[in-house]
Amino acid sequence: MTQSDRFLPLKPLVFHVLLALKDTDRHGYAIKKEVATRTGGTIDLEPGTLYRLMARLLKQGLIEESDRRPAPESDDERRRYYCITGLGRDVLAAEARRMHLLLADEAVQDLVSEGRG
Amino acid sequence: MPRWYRWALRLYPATYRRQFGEAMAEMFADEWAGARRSGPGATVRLLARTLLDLIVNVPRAYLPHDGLQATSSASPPIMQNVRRDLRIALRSLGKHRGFAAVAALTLALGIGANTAIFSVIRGVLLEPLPYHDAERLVVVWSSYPDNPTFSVSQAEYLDYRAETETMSQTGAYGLDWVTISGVGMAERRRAVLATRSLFEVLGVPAAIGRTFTEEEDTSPGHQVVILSHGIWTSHFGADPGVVGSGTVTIDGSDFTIIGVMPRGFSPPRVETDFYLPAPMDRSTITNRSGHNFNAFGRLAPDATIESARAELATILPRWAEQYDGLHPNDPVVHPLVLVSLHDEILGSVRPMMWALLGTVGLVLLLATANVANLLLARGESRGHEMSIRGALGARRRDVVQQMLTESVVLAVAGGALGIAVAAALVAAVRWLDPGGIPRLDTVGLDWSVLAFTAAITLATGVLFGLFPAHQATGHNARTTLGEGARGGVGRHSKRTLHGLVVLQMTLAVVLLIGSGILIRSFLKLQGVDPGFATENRVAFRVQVLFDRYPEREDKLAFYRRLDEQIQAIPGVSGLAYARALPLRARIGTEGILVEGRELGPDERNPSVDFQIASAGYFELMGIPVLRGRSIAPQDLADAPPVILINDAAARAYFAGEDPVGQRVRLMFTPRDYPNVTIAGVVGDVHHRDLAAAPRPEIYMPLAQVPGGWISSIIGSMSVVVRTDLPLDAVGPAIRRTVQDLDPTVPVDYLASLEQAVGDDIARDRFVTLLLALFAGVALIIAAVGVYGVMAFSVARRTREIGIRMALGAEPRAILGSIVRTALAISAVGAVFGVVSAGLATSVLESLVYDISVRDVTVFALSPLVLLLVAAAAAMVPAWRAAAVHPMETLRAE
Repeated sequence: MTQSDRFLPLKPLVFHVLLALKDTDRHGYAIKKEVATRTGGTIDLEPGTLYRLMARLLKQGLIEESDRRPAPESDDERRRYYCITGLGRDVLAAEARRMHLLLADEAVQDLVSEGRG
Repeated sequence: MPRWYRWALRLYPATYRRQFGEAMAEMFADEWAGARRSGPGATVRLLARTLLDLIVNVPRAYLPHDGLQATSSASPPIMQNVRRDLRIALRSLGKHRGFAAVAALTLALGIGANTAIFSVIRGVLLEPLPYHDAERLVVVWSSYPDNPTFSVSQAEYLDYRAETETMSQTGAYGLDWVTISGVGMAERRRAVLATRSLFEVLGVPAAIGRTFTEEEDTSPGHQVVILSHGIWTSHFGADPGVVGSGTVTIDGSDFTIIGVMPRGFSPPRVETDFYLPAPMDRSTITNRSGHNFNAFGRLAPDATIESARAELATILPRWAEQYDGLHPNDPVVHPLVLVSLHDEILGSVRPMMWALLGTVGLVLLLATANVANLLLARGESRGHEMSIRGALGARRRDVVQQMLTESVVLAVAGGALGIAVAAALVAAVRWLDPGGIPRLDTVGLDWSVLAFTAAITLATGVLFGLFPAHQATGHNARTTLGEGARGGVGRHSKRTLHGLVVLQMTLAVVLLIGSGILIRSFLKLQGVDPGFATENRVAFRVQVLFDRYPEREDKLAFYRRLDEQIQAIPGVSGLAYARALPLRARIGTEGILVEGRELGPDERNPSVDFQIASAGYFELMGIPVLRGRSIAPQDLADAPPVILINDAAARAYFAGEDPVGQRVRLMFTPRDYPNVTIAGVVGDVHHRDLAAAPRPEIYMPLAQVPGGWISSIIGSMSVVVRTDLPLDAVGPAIRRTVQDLDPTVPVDYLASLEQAVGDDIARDRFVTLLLALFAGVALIIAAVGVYGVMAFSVARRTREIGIRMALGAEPRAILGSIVRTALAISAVGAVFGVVSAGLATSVLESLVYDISVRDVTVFALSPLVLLLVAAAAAMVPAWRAAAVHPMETLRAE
């Protein structure tokens, strides 16, 4: 069991938040908007839920506060930006692999096409 | 962004808030701005979601661990935990039955009292009146200086109806007593004489059949009647067939039943079973002074009560010119006033209801403070237990969860008991019904209110369960275990506990002072001399049918026969007649003019209560004759007419002169009726109510009442009988005697005069009783609070006390020091309480009689009572401390 397997399976919310930070640093409101876009609006995070989650992710070392800042004209210095850590990236990947394996199973494939049909 | 969100963020733990608070506020601000742009729907949705977000996430932010995993394999299934915690909680509460009972009972009292009183207030004050769109209904009154809301005359009603444009509809009713026969014994009932538009203005049509037609509304003589739902059910078997064909015999003639009103309907301010037409014809009305109609209007869609008043202010001056001289009793034309129906019906009970609500609100606050107190004290004393649990490997969240479970169990038990308390209190309030409180009989337990109060108390329980849990688990095991051995109370929690006791004392003092003032006021009211004797006096009312006794002499002859027959009943030793007995029936006002006096241009002629009394009335009622003479048997129709006046009239209209022998014109008597001579002055009687000062009153001898139409007022008379028999014994004999004399004459309002006085102050007794009850509850809760804190402190200081005693401290000194501490804390609360009460008791202003709402005695005594109770409550733990055996406590280590 690798260090990242300890966190699996991830809560869907956690997965989406990590995914939102995979390629770019974002502040809280941007994470919320990104998650909402990705999930077609089905996940709309409230401040309380989002930041409780962020607190956990920070504590577990999956994300950290970012020093990098976007171009000054689009920046708001009151905002904290977050980025994904190496561990976070590993956990995200491990979860993605887990889901992929799960989906690769033939029986699951059948279910997916049934749902479509 | 609304400020409240920032405020709400303070609910999160401090470290958490420092880290994320700014970002969360920022994020909410963005969402808020977006929602505001999208419209009110989005704003409301955001509000709801945010609220839910807070409720879900704030408590969890306090949990030491919540994972990222979809399922946490490390912790056991949650239900297993809950069941285990419940078991432990019940066992632990069972071991501390005293604590559990006191906490649950306190909660139950707070929840129950609040629910009950709020249910009553909601039923009485807040439920809409049973008319269509009742907020737009107004009452039209005539306004006199001594009677600001008096019935209007037909002429005034018709003129206003014709001229107003701010009212979409107007309607009116008068009242009459009618004799209903055909149901065995004659029954006298109040009938409503209604205009056709009365039902339209109230927006309530007949449930079956119809209301009055245009024809019935304008021309007299239509013998039709509409029934109430109640009488239709009780007397006509709820048979729809009676409508259109059935009849009721009213004053000897048959009236056809044309309709039945819906269940529970009655016009404002009156209960009735019979509606008769009140035909009004403008052309035949010249006398504008017969004020006997209750008039109502419905505001037109674009009108407000202010615009209606403004319009009225332009109508009235025109009338003053138009009708000058046609208003013989009122040289100064009195104005009309408009009052909203809601204010009219509920205005008088509102102060009383708010006083009660304020009281129970304080009791609830007191109860929650007490529970917080108990839980804190208990949580503090369990630091030791928690540390042991921790040392044995219990995780922090397990301990917190378990303590929370205990609080919730307590709160639920308190809530369940609270329902019982609320139900009992509502039943008690309805049973105590003093009369005159509208809709009290329909009040039931209000479940939404119950849910609300239960939620508040539950939240309190959880919050104060969480706080000590948090504290207890924060202890480092080693220091706590060490501290536990040494005993003593942490300074921080001690301050919290003492603060809560001070709060309780403050609230209790406010309640004690409030109820003390009402009790003193009530005692004063009860001590008011009504001005007449009430012991061994029984009263009733009779009415004779006009057809059988058309002339004045016929009526007088009947009363003479009735006098003889009733006096023949064994145990009856006297009888007298009056038009309206004091505290029993409303009395009419009339104008008089003193001979030889000119009225100034702006002066009104004296207005007096007009009483009619038979010879012997004053002697029988124990009303003293102050000057001149009483009404004598010789004051007959052919003797020179006389009147008696009361002391109030003598003071008001004959200051500095002797009224006896002066001559007076009675404005309401026919032109050929001579001026009357004042034969005597009698003592004042509280006619309307005990709280109001007696008004000027005149007494006309029964035998000298003028003939003609005026004599109809003696068609109905009150009878007062002196007897040493109880009402149960003499009542049936009276009924039998009247029936034997004339079976068409009904007997009503048979009661003792003592009861009449009691009924008058029933409402005051009701409020006083309830407030005193709640103050008592408050006192008990406050005593429990003091006891709890002192007992806790003694238990924690057992070792210290043991050492002190080993070093030679006297048990008495120990006892004294504990009681002194309790008194010192309570004294602070008492001071706060007196100050707060000084600011708060002005709400009682309209409820008290002849006493200042800052009554010095009450303000001085109440804190003393509370200090005594506090000292007594501290005595038990103090004794326990003084009985500490030094060697035992030291060995117990």
